Amino acid sequence: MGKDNNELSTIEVSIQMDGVIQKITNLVVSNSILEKVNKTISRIEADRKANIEKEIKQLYKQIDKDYKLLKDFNLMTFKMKKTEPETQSQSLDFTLQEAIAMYPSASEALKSKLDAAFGKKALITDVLERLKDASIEEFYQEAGRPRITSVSELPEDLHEYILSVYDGIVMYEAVNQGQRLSYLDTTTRKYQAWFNLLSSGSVDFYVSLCHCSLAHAGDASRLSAVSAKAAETLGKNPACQNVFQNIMNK
Amino acid sequence: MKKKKFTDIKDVNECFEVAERPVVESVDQIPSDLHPVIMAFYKEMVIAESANKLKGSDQKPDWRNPNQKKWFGWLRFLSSGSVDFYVSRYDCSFAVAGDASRLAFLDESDVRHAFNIAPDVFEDFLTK
Repeated sequence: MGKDNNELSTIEVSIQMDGVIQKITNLVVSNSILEKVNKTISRIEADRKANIEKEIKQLYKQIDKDYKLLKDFNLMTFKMKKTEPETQSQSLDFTLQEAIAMYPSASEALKSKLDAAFGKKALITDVLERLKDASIEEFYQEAGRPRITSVSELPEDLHEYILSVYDGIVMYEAVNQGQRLSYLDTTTRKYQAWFNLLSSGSVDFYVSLCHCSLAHAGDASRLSAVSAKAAETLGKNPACQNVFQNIMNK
Repeated sequence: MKKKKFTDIKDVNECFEVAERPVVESVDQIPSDLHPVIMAFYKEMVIAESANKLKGSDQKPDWRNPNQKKWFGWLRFLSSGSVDFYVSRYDCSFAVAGDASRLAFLDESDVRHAFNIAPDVFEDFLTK
């Protein structure tokens, strides 16, 4: 006597990817489906190049068909829970710093994948080049500082001014890459951007100048750059010009 | 009654009274390592504001006005690690990135006095 095709069994569905066996789900199926499952698994094992995702989807379609059939004959005494197999997506398992380090020598194919994963701009190695036309938000990200919107302890009319000073400090931290300048060290050059004040009320970058043993009262070591190029990057960036303008005027 | 001059002011606390600004100890929203420099900005601003107020101006100096002289002090660093007042000079049509109209003095003579009553504030501003 043959097996009862409607007898139910529980099977565990797993797949092997790159040598790792991964459980997908448990299924409660009839013997007829179990037979098909076994055939499918045999086929997968026999042909490792088979498209596993497609096979599993076909398997589910068969199960769906069988489920409807059983339901029609009121033979279902259980609820079958199906879980869609997880898509085996490819991923780039690199940190941004690792990606930046490997980018210059990467193949074009890898470069395009890194561009897609991290964004082309984030992978520019030269920080000053990266920040040339960056937004203030990007300066905050580069410096790792939190963006704040209020300094409630101070008088309200000064909020905009103090927040602009904070923006300015963060901008310099970003281009200085964590290097802290000391005004008491007279051998270190401290660079700053100088501006032409235009009659329109806006500013225009003029020149980067440095100090060693003198400081202007508007100077602050937190508002000084480690190089002329760093000061120039800030001085020419439109978003930074806006901040400097706010520091001057607000 | 003799009109009060900025050179009559003896310390920073008096500047806060003249400028009618509250004494603030910290700004909690800003990362704590930056509190000293932000507080120095605030104090230096209050000092300049009190000086300019005693000169009859309730408005901060205006960078958009090239005819108005904005006086700033220049400091020099001593081998002892401290700072000393060097010279005062004004800007009209150029400004360095850290300049702020709120830190400018409308009168040259007030600049040196500001440093004399609060050298620590100016030093904190530059070094913290």
